[in-house]
Amino acid sequence: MSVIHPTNGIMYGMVIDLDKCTGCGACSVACMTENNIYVLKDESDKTRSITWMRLYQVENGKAFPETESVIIPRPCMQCGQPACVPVCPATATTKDEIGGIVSQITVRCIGCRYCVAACPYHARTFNWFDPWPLYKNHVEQMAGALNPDVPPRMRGVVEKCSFCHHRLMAAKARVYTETEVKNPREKYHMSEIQAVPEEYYQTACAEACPAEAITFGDLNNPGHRVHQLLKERKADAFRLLEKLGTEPRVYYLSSRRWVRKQADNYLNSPEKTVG
Amino acid sequence: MNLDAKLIPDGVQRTSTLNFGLTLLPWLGLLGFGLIGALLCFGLGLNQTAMNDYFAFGLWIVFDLAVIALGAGAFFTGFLLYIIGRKELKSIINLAVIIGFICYSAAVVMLLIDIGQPLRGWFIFWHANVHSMLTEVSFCITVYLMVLIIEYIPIILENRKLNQVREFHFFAHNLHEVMFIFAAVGTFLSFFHQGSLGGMFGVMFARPFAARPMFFIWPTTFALFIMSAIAAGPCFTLLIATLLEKIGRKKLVRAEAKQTLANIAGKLLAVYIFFKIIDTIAWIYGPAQNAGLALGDFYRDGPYGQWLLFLELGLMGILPAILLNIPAARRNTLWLTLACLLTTSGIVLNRFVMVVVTLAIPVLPFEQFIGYLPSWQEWAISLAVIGYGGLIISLSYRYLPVFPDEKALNA
Amino acid sequence: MTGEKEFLQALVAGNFWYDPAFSYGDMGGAFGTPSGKFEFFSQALDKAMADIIGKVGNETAGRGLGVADLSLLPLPHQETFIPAESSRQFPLLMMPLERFRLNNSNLGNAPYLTKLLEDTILKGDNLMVEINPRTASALGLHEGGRAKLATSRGAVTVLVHLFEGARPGVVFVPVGLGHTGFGYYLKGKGVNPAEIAEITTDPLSGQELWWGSRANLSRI
Repeated sequence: MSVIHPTNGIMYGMVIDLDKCTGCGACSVACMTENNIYVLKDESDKTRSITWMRLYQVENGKAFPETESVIIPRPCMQCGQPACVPVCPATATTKDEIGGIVSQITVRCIGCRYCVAACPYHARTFNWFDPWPLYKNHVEQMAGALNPDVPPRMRGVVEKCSFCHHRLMAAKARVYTETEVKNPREKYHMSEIQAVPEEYYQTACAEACPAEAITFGDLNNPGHRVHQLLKERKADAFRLLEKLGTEPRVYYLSSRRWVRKQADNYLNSPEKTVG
Repeated sequence: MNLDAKLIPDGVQRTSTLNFGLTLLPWLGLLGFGLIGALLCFGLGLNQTAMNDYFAFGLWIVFDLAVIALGAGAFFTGFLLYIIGRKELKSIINLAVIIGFICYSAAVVMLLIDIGQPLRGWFIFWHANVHSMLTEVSFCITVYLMVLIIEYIPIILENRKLNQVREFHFFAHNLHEVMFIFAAVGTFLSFFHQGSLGGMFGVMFARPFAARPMFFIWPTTFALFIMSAIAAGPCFTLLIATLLEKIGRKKLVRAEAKQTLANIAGKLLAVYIFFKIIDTIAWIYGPAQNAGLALGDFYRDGPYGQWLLFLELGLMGILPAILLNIPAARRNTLWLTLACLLTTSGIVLNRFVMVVVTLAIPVLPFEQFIGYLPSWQEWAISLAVIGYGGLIISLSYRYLPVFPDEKALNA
Repeated sequence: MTGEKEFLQALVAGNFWYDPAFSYGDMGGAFGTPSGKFEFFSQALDKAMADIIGKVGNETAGRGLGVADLSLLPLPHQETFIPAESSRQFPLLMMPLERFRLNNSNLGNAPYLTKLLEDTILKGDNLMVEINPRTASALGLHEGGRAKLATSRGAVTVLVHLFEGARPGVVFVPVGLGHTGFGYYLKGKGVNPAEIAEITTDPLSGQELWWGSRANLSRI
């Protein structure tokens, strides 16, 4: 399959400035509360812990006192050429034609986990446990509330970061209600809305980051901050695993060369650290 | 004393009913154990397994791939008999079909337990994604299972008692007349699903261990899986036949039939190993290098070492290929059995490597290498497949005319 | 109380007080220092020192406070931390480690944050301590191994995590776990370094110090 270019040129993407990220976890917490992600009693098994935004701590492999570490927040890359979309047998995931978000339809997923195997970023997580008893626990124990805009999942299905797609829907609804219709008799449908203003649609993680390390918007729109950041910090920008050809839409910025070198594999590279 | 003497085929010796009942116990035990595992998985969810987000596929998928490859003897023997016209294979075709039926029906049940939402399994057919190899696999396997059932039915209807019913006799006889159609359909379907199972891994372009060069929509693993299946399938059929001969202490299959299968399997195996070695080299300098990974990056000390490669291609590949191509070795039961064991083990190892090692190898440089050991629930269900096979073969061997040449060979 | 007016009258009748309104821009009253400006020099300490020296003399004061140069005292400066008597029994220094996503106040850590703790901090119910790989190999410890963390005040069982960024000779213990309360998501997880920390007293301020205790980490 070739790279899928969204129609109308809108390409939602993210720029994460690793020079600013402190690893506080606010993005991940915001994501979890926004998207009704439950908490198990024991979440130390990271191979089954569901976090759509995952924080990796990566070190430069040097001995004390030259050790440096960086925190890399990793949402779903919403790849331009996703490895996961073509492999789903039940068409439970697609690449949106407008905007380019890789959608995950959890009510259609049969849980075969082929997409989980295909994704090199481990962005996809599977519900190994049944969430429903946990949601009950969630509300009771955490005196918490569930976000009514995001569907809760069931056992045995795959879930992943959706670039807060429900917020895009809300932004479109907002544009719809704010748009003055010249002729009331003319039908005006919400599906006609494609672009939304930058401030109307921001992901929960970008909104929550106290260091403003996460920027979200339309990569192709020169008026959006993500586009400008990539231009300004061109030398520091990189993506994860570019060599594979997945065309990720999440860019990272780092002024440190050793961090940029962590993004990919380089044959016989001296900078390679032990995995 | 045979209480069920009227059900046993005419002119053959079978053990007493009591003995037979006792021999069924271990198979039933395994099935019972598997049932417990299955109920736990259905009731509590897939956290009962040792799989996780890194090991999305585990023991069951390895087992599925292995049994489907080993069950390839059914379609290939049918192809050789009904399409190519190798009449001597009539001696072994029934056994091959039964093995195929066992393998494919077990695979379908195991897949149903493996998916997170078994009740939604039909979505693959209703919301099929034409781009996915797994869609092709599901369609083909389901249809082929129906073909196998159709091929198994005449054998069942030829049971002494059932055959006395005129309609059954008529039906079975006529089905035999048109069996070549089903053999052709079965061959066609099998080529595609054997290939697609390999295709499933070759298309994962973001997983450098599995990714392969593409020919249009087909990765090289598509062809390799077909080749290895048609080499290993007949070998597995031969192994089961030899096993039954040893246990029953009688000849069951004509020597010509065995030699035909062994000879063809040997040639296919040699061709497969040749292409597999070329493919491995092409992969090292192609997808692997393009992803920035060297051969050493894919192997670790211990159970995931480079010795896996040498074992699969050398001891379990080149060696049995040589043995099967030496007529004297083929005709010797011991060497033939050894060669068949090595071949089938090699193909099972290949399936294991394509599933487990693919997932164990991290792609992101800062990701960890994760190990995986199946839980007892996974073992229970996998071993139940063996119990199921043992049960079906035991019942078929006793009550159905599986071996048309048995009477003549033991006269 | 009949109404707002009556309420206000009752208050004004002597049941509250107020300070003069703050005059913005007038920095004259901002700092209570002689210059009226921000000073790094502590007048209070200087006066207290003068009193002490007047009573016992320079040398005795210096010895008592464990300070060499008394003139530095009212200024911000560094004094070398001398922990309690070190011994071969406790060759390491134990320091509590504050981490993001781990609240170490009287409020228990929020469940979402506990979830985000790396598996190099909390594994199951076990706390992981960080030490330098060189220190670890000298002690015969390996990654993920169980170990006994002991001080003169007691011992706890922990798991070991090797981290190059950890200063050799120091064992870093994440602080904020070891709660016996806070229920489902937190109770019984990890250990609290404060339980076994040595408490020493800062001779100057009289405050308790517990951020460096003599400790040992031995393989179990």
